[in-house]
Amino acid sequence: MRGGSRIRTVRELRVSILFLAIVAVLPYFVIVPYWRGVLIVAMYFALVSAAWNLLAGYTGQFSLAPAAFAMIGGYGSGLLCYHFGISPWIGIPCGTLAATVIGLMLGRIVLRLRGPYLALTTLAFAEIVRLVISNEYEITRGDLGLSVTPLFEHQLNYYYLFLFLLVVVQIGLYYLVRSRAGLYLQAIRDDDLAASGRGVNVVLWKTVSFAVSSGICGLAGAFYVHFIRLASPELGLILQTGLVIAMVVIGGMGTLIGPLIGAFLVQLSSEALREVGLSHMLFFALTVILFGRFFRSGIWGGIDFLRDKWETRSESKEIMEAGGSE
Amino acid sequence: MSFFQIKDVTKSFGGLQAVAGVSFSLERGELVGLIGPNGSGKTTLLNLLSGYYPPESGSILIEEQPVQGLPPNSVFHRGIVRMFQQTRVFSRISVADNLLVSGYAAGLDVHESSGRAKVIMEKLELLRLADEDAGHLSGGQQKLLEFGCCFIGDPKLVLLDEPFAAIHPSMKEIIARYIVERHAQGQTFIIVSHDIPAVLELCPRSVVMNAGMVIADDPTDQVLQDENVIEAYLGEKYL
Repeated sequence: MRGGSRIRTVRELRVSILFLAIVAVLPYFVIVPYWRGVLIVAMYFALVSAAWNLLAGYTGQFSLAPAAFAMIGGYGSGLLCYHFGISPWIGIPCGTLAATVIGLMLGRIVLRLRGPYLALTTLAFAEIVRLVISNEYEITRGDLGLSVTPLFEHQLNYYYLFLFLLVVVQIGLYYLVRSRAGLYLQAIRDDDLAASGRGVNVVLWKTVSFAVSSGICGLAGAFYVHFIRLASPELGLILQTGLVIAMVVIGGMGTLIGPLIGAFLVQLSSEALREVGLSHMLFFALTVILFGRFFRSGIWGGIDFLRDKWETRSESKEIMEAGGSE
Repeated sequence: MSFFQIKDVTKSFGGLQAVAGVSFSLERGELVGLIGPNGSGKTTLLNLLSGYYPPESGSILIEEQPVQGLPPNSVFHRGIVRMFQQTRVFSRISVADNLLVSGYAAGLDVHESSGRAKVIMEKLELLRLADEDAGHLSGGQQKLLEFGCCFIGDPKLVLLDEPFAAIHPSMKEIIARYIVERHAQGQTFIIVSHDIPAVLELCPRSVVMNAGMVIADDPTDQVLQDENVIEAYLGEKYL
């Protein structure tokens, strides 16, 4: 691909901002509350996908626990609100902190694991957390879930709150990816043995990436439970993690814009296909297999490829024309 | 006390003794060839020196400070950098960023790292490829890039594993020229290579390994006349 990784990241941020600007004006055209709700859910998934992309796409750590960390964030805030009547504005940072700290600890435990071993360990962790929450009825009300207080009365407030979070996270990730820490993460992704030999503290940066990713998932989950007014173990289902992975793979893994494209595309088409029942998951599973096999760089990778091809063709044409005029 | 010392270092894999009590030392600014037949333990020794394997016994000291058992990133911070036999670059970031990773890790700021990266890219004729992803370079260009990454952070000792293998003669010339230039500035090297003419040309001294042990450690021209070395490694044409 032409232009280098840094130039591509700048381009991806510009397109992200343009994408989010379009999302910002959508409520003027989408007036049905149901579809506005769908867009809010898409933004929630975009946040979790962006967080997972930091870990898997930029650091090469394939975790199967993003939904579990969103659930931890959600329950962190939900439990404080439900049992102690604490304001969500205090509960949400507490839930985010809980997800970050637990992510830090899990990151330390799994940092020497790779590939299927890492995936299985994080999957086991995610299931343990979900089962504990499901079974500790006296504290969590089990599968019934916790009713939590809303942040706002109006749906539009949630819409712009999630949009604000998404803008902050995208810009934050942009600066992280472009910083020296971001370079270390990408070096670890490409070859962690070589990164270590070139002075990168692989243990430290893998742990940092795990903690930051978990923190963003926790933040998204903490806000989300106050939007749906319910903290439920369903937040942490492996199916949710599957959706997040599908979103990132379809949108473009290891790119800033990919998780945004993927989250909106998958969530909106999921709603459009809702009438066919759970078998719509079959459609996403097949799509992920097709992308994994034929379009590994996702939709954004395809767009980038076509753009490069177009530029190369234009340059060749200019050179030919210049040659002809001489 | 020598600048760099390897004292009675051993390493085995199962029943195979890959490095069996290797000892030698280097003075600052020396350029030493490490040669020997395949399986003689050269790369294992480099893995021990660069922190990828902990030795079972023995010690490795640079400026009298022990480095044995430290992880590779800590060994890097003690001033020992290493180029691999199988080229290892960060394929999905640019050529310039590959160099910056090493510069930042060595504690240089953005300005200093960028400046040095540019100089190295110029010297190694990689400047026009600065913004290309490293994974898109040819094998030889990747080798040049990995070689260049060794020098950005003022290393005390550079370990090069087969820097001349499987590359075009013009790139070999670029690498050899840069080694000579850095050596003239006082850089210390250990170069593992099967390219005997290059070792003879570049390295005033050579250490020869066979079956995990040092069988010769002398000026290179003498080493190449050593009967043990000829029998174990070079073959009859050198007799």
